[in-house]
Amino acid sequence: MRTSSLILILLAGILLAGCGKQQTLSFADLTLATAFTADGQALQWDTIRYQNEAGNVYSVHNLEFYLSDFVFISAEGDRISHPQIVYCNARTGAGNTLSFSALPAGNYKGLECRVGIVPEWNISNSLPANLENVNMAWPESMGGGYHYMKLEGYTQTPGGTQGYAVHLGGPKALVSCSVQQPFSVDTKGSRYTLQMNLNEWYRNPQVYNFQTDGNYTMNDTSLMKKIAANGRDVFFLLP
Amino acid sequence: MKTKVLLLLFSLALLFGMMPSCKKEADPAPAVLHPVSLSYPNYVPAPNLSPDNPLTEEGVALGRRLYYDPMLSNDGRACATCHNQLRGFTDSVSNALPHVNLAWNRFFLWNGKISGTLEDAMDFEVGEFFQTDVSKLNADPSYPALFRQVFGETPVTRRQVALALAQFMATQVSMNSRFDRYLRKELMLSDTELRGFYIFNSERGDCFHCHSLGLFTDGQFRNNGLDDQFVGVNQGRFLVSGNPSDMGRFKTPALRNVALSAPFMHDGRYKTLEDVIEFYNSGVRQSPTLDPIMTKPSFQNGLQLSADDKADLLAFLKSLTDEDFLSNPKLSAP
Repeated sequence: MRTSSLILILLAGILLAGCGKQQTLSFADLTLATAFTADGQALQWDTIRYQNEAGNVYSVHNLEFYLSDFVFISAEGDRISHPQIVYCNARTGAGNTLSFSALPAGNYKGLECRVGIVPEWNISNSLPANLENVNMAWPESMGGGYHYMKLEGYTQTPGGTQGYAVHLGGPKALVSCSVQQPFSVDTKGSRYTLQMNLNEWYRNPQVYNFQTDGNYTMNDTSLMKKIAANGRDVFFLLP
Repeated sequence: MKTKVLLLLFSLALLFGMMPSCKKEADPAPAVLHPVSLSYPNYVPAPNLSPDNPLTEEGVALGRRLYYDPMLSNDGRACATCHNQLRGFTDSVSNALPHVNLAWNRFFLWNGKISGTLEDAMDFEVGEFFQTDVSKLNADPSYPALFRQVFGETPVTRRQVALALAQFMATQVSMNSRFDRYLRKELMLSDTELRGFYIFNSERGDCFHCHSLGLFTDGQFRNNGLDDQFVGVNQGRFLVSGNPSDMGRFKTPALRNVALSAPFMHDGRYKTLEDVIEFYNSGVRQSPTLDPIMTKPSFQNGLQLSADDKADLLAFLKSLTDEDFLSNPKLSAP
């Protein structure tokens, strides 16, 4: 009797341990909805009202970009990759809800992603064409592939209103973003806001000034690199 | 009495027996329609087709007949009056946008007044532009049967006319120009065409940002610097949206068969492609809504293209002419 009780207790222990292990391996979906601000001010299209670190007052007329190479960093330090490539158009709303399926449920200490397309996919016509992203091609004469980002609008200058076009593309302008904020994915799935602070493109580590650096970045590797480096902390997670 | 009951039963049986045949006459079996699928190269996205109006051979044929029929208007004009196949489905007089690859459009007319699919655009053309009198179509000896075949019912309605036109116009696909064949590695462009392509598709001429390769339009609204003051029709998209930031913006026109679509711009102000190239080279006007792409420092004094550069660019633009499209008998007057 005592022996059989012991066996039963052992079996129950094994089962419970198994259940516990299964719980840590449960998977769930994570949804990130994009949002856009400039130092806390919600993005309002075509209004010259935002001010960057250099003092440029500017508006936004168009913002479209690719995100790729997502990595979710668990609390234990495991790196879970999601290689999907997403086209986002802030104005039309295309691609503005990102879904990641089958992420291990649990706590995370941050995430990483690229604004742009990883080199193995940044080849002309490698992505399915659609009417949303038909104008994102990067000319073959400049290396081919796709625009990583188009951020366009107008800025106030002493001479009046002037347009600006921050375009990124090519291997030296791929933006590595890091979001070092803890979050969790619970077993029923979780949803957060992935907020882009537009002013981060123009500061840290280097202040970018439309008047002195330039209002047009394409075809100027040094300008694109400066913007790309600033983009490291352009995203924030909000519950 | 017994005979009367039998007669009554016989009559009832006869009546029930006839009912299926009556139903058949009132609701004939739907005609067999033959589906049509559009073919296009892989460097072009999927078209913006309405799932509610699937293309069929019969619908396309009906739309084609309507396209060329002046009965659609009340003043003797047909769609084809201003949209001549030999000119890439535009004309040499008006500033009518060419009917080419419209199945890939989400906005129609220069200021994008109509949005949606070709069906929405045709609703406007039939209802507001032509104000089609469908009683003429219903009185026609052949149209009602054709509409019944395609849509399963008559009388003919404006909506049905719009749907049939949309089906035909979805087949006005031009993707077999010399440049397309170059992209498909079927032929080599000449040196001057290739130099022109480089100017077009690089920061040198910077045409590609708006006239995206493939469709040769990005489908967006842009102020390309034609004016610095905006009155009347020149206000463009602003007249639709009421948004001051849309002042002077117009839909980017597709450049396919552009060598045949003079005059150019929304108001037809330029008579030749040479005029258009010279405008971008030296005539762009500054305004608060000038497209950001056109405000780059190297644009301040125009593109500064040489005479040879301009000739090369012109040669490239001419390589977008699709001879098959211009002579395709399936698109011609029936």
